[in-house]
Amino acid sequence: MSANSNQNNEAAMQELRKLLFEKESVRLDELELLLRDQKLHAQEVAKVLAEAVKIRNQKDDELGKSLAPTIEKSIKESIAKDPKSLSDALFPVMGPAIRKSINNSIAEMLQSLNQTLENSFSVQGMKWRFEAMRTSKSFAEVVMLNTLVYRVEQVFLIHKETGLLLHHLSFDPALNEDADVVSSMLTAVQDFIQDSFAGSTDQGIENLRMGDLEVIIETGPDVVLAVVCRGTTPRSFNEKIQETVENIQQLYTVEFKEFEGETEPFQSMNEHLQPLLVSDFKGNAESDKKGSPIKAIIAVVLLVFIIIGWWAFGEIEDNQKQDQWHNYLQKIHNEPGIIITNIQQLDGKSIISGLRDPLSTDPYTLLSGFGLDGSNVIFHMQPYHALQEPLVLKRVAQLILPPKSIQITMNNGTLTISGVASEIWLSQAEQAALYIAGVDNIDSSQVSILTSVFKDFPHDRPIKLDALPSKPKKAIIRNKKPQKHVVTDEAILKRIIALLKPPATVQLVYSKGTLYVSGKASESWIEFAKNNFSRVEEVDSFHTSNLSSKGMQ
Amino acid sequence: MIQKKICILGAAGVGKTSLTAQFVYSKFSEKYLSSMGVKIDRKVVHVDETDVNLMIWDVHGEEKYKKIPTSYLRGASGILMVIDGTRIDTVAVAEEVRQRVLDKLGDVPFVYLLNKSDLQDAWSINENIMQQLQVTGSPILLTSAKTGDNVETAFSTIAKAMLPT
Ligand SMILES: Nc1nc2c(ncn2[C@@H]2O[C@H](COP(=O)(O)OP(=O)(O)OP(=O)(O)O)[C@@H](O)[C@H]2O)c(=O)[nH]1
Ligand SMILES: [Mg+2]
Repeated sequence: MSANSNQNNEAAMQELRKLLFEKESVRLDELELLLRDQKLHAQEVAKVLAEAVKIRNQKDDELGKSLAPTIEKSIKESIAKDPKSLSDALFPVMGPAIRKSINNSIAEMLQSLNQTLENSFSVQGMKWRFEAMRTSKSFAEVVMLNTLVYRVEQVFLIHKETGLLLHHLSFDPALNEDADVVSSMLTAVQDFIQDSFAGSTDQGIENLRMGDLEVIIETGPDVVLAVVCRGTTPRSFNEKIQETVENIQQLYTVEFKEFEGETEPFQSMNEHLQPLLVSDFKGNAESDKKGSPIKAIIAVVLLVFIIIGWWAFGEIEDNQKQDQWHNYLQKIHNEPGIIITNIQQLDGKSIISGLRDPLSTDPYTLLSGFGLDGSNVIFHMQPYHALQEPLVLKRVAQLILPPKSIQITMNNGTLTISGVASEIWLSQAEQAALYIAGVDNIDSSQVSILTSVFKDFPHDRPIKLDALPSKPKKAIIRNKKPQKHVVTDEAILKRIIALLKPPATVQLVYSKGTLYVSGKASESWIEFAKNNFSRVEEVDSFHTSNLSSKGMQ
Repeated sequence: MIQKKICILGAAGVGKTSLTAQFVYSKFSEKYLSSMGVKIDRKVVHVDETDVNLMIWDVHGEEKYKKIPTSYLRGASGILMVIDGTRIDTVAVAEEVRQRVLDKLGDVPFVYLLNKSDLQDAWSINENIMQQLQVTGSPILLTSAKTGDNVETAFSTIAKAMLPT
């Protein structure tokens, strides 16, 4: 298939030619064979044969030329009679070359297959998985990936003659895109390999492996079934595939023979192929369960609930302990950021496995609250990022460090920032929050941008962006128009204080545009304050009836 | 939707890969990367009210020591036979390959593509050759993978020829 393999074939052929046509020993063998009939002269000829051949070969290459057709013919006859014996004889020479060419063709196929699959698996698949981490799917998905033994990801039913895709099933619709190209490419590889093994008819490849993916290929007279699996399938699964091919082959023989490119008649294949789309999880007792991945997902999710509910049906030995345990499980089940996937009893200890967001409450610390002994419970918790909004919000807050003047809330994936903030802080916060899984959009249209020059406004702690990965694409809803500054009284008062620098004997109260000044102050300060209070934009009037300068210098 | 396998064949360097790339991706490159093995692309063409999903097998060029493996021809419903209009020797190669295809597949529709029609100065296809090709009864098109001239037509012509009439 590839240049390499072609070149290798070529090289192998050359080697073969060399072996057959140039090596004297071969020629001698053939000669001896031919001469054997002439029994009378055989012995005499034999004496001089080697010498004669040598001499003639030194003179010209006529001997070789005249022998070639005979040798060719005898090889052909030999192949016709018993291809196996010849291929056995040739295998030591051809074998490595063929093997190499197969590996190359597989490599080439893997390349194409890889490219196609990679597009759908790695990029889209990863994206999809990453996506799943951020959506409500993640729960099941995260659990599933952690417990996956194997999963059949795609099933290709391929028309053998044309390489055309008759039917395709996949657990993820995103994979349907290039299925027809993969199908053709698989066929091309199969054909090529079959051609490379001249004589043998069904020496196709049966199995391909690339990393975590395995392609199991089962060939019938008219169809090829290729099954792409992740993980390791049980042996019995191969038999199942084989049976399916036999079954389909029988039922659809006519349709296969008459196939002209119309795939409509094969829609009904679903019922035969769907059962192959199976998966198995560590939690399952048997390793070859039927069912769609959806069922499997549900199974795992159910498992969680069943485990939580097991106490209800279990034998009640110690009611009180049982109740405490149940209440405890109920509590951690409701705790955001904790997913329990399994609970085992071992040597009187309970082993709780699952996933836990580092920001969630440590389930261990909750034990004592239910009167349970921590030394009897072992936790096997894998970290994950939960998408429950309280935890997302916590994570956001950890990163953007909102000042007191800012409120943040989460709702349906939208992070709403409201309150008052400086432009710098807001834009930093927006950028940073985008990196948090679970934050799909940001709505900061309710933020009043404060352009205050006063340095003591609660503000600007720098947010470190360098350590973050490349910027994800999410939406920020932000008011384009600069907002009217809606500033709290508290903030205004701070600015007034910063401006007027009142002595400790003075109390300032600001309300609705009026600054109330009371206490004692020097004449000069009162004068200064009167002349300057209006420099704070929001202050319209200055109330000094409770202010005196008595006793002040 | 109907699917059909077609093969694009011819001597090395005549522009098979370029024609496919122009058709499928609307791209052309002056760089010559000799094909190895087969590359399969897909594009849906719309002919006579029917959508045809063309599976295009772009096979490496026929060379003396690198013949086109007949296994790649299996199940093909049509052949695009490409000739380099600036290289007269590619006509004989096309004829040789055509014979092989007929042996393997029987009577399948062919379309001849005289490619590189943009290179008028170097054009070397004469009347004689045109007549010789016309005898086969297959459509003949002047194409340019570079300008895209007649490329769509080439693929829709073969698609049309493959559909039942
Ligand atoms: N000017 C011009 N150049 C072309 C045209 N088509 C192909 N070429 C050039 O011809 C060279 C060979 O083109 P390819 O498409 O690789 O030829 P190919 O038939 O696929 O070659 P092999 O795979 O080796 O058999 C490249 O340099 C192309 O840029 C054309 O229509 N016009
Ligand atoms: Mg090419």
